[in-house]
Amino acid sequence: MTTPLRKNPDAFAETEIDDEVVLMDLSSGDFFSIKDTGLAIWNLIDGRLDRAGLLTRLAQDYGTQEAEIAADVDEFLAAVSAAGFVAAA
Amino acid sequence: MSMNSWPPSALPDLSRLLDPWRARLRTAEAMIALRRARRLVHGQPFGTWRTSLGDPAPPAGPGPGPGERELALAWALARHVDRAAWRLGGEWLCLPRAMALAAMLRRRSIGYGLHIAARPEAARTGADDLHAWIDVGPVRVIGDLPGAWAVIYRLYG
Repeated sequence: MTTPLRKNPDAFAETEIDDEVVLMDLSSGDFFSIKDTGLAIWNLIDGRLDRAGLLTRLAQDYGTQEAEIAADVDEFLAAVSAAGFVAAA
Repeated sequence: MSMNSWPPSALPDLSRLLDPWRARLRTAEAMIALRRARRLVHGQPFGTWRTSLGDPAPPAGPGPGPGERELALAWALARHVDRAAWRLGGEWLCLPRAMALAAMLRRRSIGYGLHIAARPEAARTGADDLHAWIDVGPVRVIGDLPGAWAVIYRLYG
């Protein structure tokens, strides 16, 4: 994923409750909860950063190595991409 | 000067005679709407029928809001939905009830907001953590559950 990632707001509705974002899939009606590191990734998806950019920002913010968080980021991106919530910009 | 009333007291008040039948018809209408709502909720993906519930964009302009008569009718229709659910038996969750009432309000051109919401994580129990209700103007006419709710999705009819 070298192209910037953007959210697809036509695919979901969301609300922020405390330290959590609850998403409703507008196709299926299913609900998803995003919090902790997932929420940090979600909040960085703004149509400007690609996967590498996300990793760099998260590694900086959490004071860790990109390699340590890459698997978690990929898993999250795969899940939200599969749901249609995120796509290449 | 005298005030004329209708119907004249000498005649039977036909509206009173009609009321029980009107009530039964409304309950029957609610039963049909509930069954249809359940079929949609369980049989079709949300995306295929959500637009039938209303428009995600709120009505343009502040508008006059519902009058007392519309509000009273909306409240009465909501009670018919509750009664229909009781008559049908079994468990009727908030969303089919809200959908049934939305259909009845739309038929009568009464504006409403259908809300889908989640409880804050700290208040979740595993049951009833998601909820749907309908507001007509400032009044929650169906689905009034206590506690905090964060609205995820709104549709306006």
